[in-house]
Amino acid sequence: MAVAEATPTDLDILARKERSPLQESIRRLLHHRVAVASMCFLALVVAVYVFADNSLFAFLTGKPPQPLIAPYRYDGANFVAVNVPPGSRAVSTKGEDLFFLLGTDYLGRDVLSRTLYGTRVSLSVAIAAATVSMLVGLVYGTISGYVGGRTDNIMMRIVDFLYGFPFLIMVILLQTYFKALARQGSSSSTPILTLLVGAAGLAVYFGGASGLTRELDSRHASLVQQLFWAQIGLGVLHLVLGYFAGESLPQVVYTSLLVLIGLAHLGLLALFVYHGIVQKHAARSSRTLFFVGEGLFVVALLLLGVRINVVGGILAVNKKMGGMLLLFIAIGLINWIGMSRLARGQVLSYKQKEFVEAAHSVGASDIRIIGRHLVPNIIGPLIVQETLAIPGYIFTEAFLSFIGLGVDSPTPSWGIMISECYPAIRTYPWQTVAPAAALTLTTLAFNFLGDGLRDALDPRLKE
Amino acid sequence: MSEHSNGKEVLVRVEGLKKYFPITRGVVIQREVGAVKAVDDVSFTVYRGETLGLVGESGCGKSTTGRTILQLYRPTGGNVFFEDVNLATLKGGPLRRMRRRMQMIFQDPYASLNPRMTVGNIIGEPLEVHGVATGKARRERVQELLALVGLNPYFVNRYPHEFSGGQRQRIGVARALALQPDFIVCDEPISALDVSIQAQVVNLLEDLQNKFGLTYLFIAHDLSMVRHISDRVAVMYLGKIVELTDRVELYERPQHPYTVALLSAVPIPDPIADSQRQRIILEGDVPSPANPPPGCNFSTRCWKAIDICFEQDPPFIDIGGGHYCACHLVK
Amino acid sequence: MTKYIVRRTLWFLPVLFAVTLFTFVLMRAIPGGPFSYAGDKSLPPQVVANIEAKYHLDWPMWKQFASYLLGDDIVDRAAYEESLALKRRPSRGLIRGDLGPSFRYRGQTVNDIVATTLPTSAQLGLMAVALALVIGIPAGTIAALKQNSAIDYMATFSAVFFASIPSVVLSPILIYVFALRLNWFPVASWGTKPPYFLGFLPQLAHLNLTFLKHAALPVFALGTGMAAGIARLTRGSLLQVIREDYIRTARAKGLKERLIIVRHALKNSMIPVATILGPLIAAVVTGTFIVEQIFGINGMGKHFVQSIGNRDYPVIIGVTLIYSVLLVIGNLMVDITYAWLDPRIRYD
Repeated sequence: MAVAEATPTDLDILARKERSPLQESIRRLLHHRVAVASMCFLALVVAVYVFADNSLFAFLTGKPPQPLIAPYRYDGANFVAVNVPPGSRAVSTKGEDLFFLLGTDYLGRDVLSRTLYGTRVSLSVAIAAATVSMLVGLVYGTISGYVGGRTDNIMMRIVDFLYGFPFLIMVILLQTYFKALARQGSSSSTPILTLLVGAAGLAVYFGGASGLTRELDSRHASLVQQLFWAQIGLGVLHLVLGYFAGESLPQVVYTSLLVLIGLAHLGLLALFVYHGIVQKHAARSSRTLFFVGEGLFVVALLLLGVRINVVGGILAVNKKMGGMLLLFIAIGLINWIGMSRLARGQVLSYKQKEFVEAAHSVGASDIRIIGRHLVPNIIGPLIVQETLAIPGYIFTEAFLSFIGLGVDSPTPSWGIMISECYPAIRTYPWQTVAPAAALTLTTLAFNFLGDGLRDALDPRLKE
Repeated sequence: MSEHSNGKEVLVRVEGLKKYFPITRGVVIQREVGAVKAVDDVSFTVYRGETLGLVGESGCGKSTTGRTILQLYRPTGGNVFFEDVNLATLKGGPLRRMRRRMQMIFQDPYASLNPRMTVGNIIGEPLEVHGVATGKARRERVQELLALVGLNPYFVNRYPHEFSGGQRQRIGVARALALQPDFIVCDEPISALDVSIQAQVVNLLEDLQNKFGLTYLFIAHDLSMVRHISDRVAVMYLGKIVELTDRVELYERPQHPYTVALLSAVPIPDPIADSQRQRIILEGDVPSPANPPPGCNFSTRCWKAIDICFEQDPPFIDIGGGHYCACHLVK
Repeated sequence: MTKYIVRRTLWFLPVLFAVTLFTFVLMRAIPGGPFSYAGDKSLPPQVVANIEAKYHLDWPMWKQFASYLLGDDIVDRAAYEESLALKRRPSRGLIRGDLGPSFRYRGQTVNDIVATTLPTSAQLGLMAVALALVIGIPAGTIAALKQNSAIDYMATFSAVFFASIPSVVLSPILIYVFALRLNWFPVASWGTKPPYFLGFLPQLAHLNLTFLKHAALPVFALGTGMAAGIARLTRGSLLQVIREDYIRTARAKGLKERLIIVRHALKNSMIPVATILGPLIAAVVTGTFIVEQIFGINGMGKHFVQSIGNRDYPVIIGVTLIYSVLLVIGNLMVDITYAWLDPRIRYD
């Protein structure tokens, strides 16, 4: 296979502007008019997302957040102006002049404000679900494709199995469960379980550590012992603090102490791993025992020390976020599968390339090969795929909110707004039109941006 | 340091090297149903400072041999001694440290350079991996290497897609030279290039060999180019080396029937001589390496084959003066 | 090929089992049983206990699951006899096709509910898929053949546009414009009634203008998104195929353009389209949840959403299972279509 081409002279090459493939892609993207328009629109949406009210800065002043871009709060009901059409004026019970550009809903809440606040839910879901599925999919797919062999086979069987799962229905069921939990409030935590995990972890950890001391030479063995006892010491400190000082110390001091101890734990372990003491010289079984035990032990310690009920904690956070957290988890969990398949396919095709072999032959480590050679090459299609998947996430949120399994009222989501208002569409069409338009425009922008990105990152497809 | 009988110093000694790629069936419980015998019991030595040519048809396992020597594929069996270190048993850090001394130049200059890295980072990667040079020192070393392979040192911040095939192959050569190795496996380094460029790259490789005393294992299927560059030549057929000897000896007095057939196919730049010589056309196809014939691997296509050829694998023996051949008919 | 289908079908059994187990455990794990909370008028504890005993909700979880799966007579013979004696309906088990009783609609079984609602949903879904294919494939083909023409731009743009409108948005708009403002179509309900032909197809006598008028808006609401997706995919893959060498060869040997497209290009370009048939069926299923709700069609989707609100767990589990079977069959059909379109794929 001879390659016929003119050899550019040195001057030819030096005369051209220095451009990385990334810069080339950005340049192509900026030439794509629809994509640029979409980006501008999405930038606007992000601005609304951030500055709908001043909640980002409100914690500095300690006052409740005030609307910035949005004219009113999303939950501000006005009984003097229920179901008024767009462009209406009214005087509130407190004597304020009110103006409703897009009218009000059945509680007299400003439709414009609620629509603007609605970006928070939709965009949060989009970002969170995209991040989760991207990260999980990338890591899973890359490992599967790179390691190959039996590991790959098993990992892909799992994905195949999950692929046959009716996931949206599973999300609906999960949300039903979460919602019921949230309504009911969580049952009391079971410290017995935590104690059991901790004890099991400790036992496994001890087994691993003693195995290591036998296998390693004396210097490394003593290091393992030191680490073990240091961690036990930290653990005891943790427990003492958790049980005796928990109530007497101020919350902030207590929490920061716990965090410090946790960091010390991780630091010790990181130091240990960094110096490669365990990896190099020990048998796989004791290594695994050591790390698994260590992990369980630390988790149990944290749970005991902080004495939080995990489920309760998640539910509390979820409630603060208006029911969004569980939505993120549910939507994020289902979408990594396609991403991991794509990532694996890409890794498989690049793994065979000679530049990866070249990296092996100069002695580059696996981490380096993945990080420097594989990921930069495979990330493009993944980003495109993720951008094109975002409308799906937004749809899912709207869909779940529509059937009452999304965010909690009165948090405004476009899906909830439509579901609350469509029965009255004959008399009050504006209540449905505003969120419907916002939803459509946003997904439209993501779709166009995705198309533009695909053309920019893979110019062969366009021609 | 191992010394050979003829006084030349042995750099790489390959003993009974095997590389089988398993064929598996089944999903979770995989069972091996067979193996592709890409390299099947190969032994030879490479002397310091020489160029050993390795020729054969595509698919005969010559590239796999090169990669297995460098431990890019782990051998299924056999040993590879680099000086006195057995690479086949090395792992992890020690193997990585040995990689400084042996490098590879790849066939496809388009696939062998990461399109997302600058030329400087590509050539500098070995320096970075082994902590030889960082920062400004690394950049200077990269520019030095670029100049060495005949490229403009100002190219450090450029990306591979801006260069022609020949220029890219020079970048690949510079990368291989970065760690000042002793031994370089050249895996068909010129077969993807324009004919007009091929000579330039071969000359560059020769110059560098003279300058740094490099040892090459030069893998190719182009017999005339191998004749030009090699000191000794090994001929491979279906995972085995069938003949190995001095360049002149091989081209003048080929012994193995396969070598004879192969050489008869090389065009001679003289139409009269070309039309007069006897050309041997081999019949049939190369058997599958997953299912090689019993006896001599070449027996299915050999026009001289006798009964024993179909039953016994011929030994690879010295037939005199360092001329090795694996054929029952050659003694 | 037969062996392959059999193997794939067997592979679905663990999936269905996992779905059943997951759904069952999740629904049973919800704190507070379905009867302990009944809106404003909570039932007295004694009554709740009685009802729970009736449905064996006082059994341990594994036993409930076994009974759901295998039937009371296999799991607990005594309880089975007792149920019969009390003239209660014992569970016959999923393996014998019994999806259990509805908690909310006394006297109705989940099987009854599925039998009355599934045909409507199936009609709606099939018509939507048909619409999607009938619009999507020609639109994509024409756009690809007239690449970069005005038709192409229009088709591409409207495809992206319709792919960006969720049915949550499209359905109310359709109702507002075509039913309320223009009065062309009825607002709600579905035009056929049982008995159905083959169990789910409307009788010929019902296939009149009224039926079509009732069906038009919901089918459109459900089908356009899919049509847009199919059109985009068809265009993309056809564009790739018509650049292949064998198309050039076909042109070079003087074949008629139409023959080239139909015989050589279209079939190969359908390969990627076939792969989205699976997600498509999933989209139809979830689409019916919304469309049936908004258009007031008494289908399985509407029922499913309502049973979530009602905490009618047997209905939730049963309908989930039906959907899972549908999706699983859909995936199998994708694989078979794929094999038919692309003979290079070997199944051994």
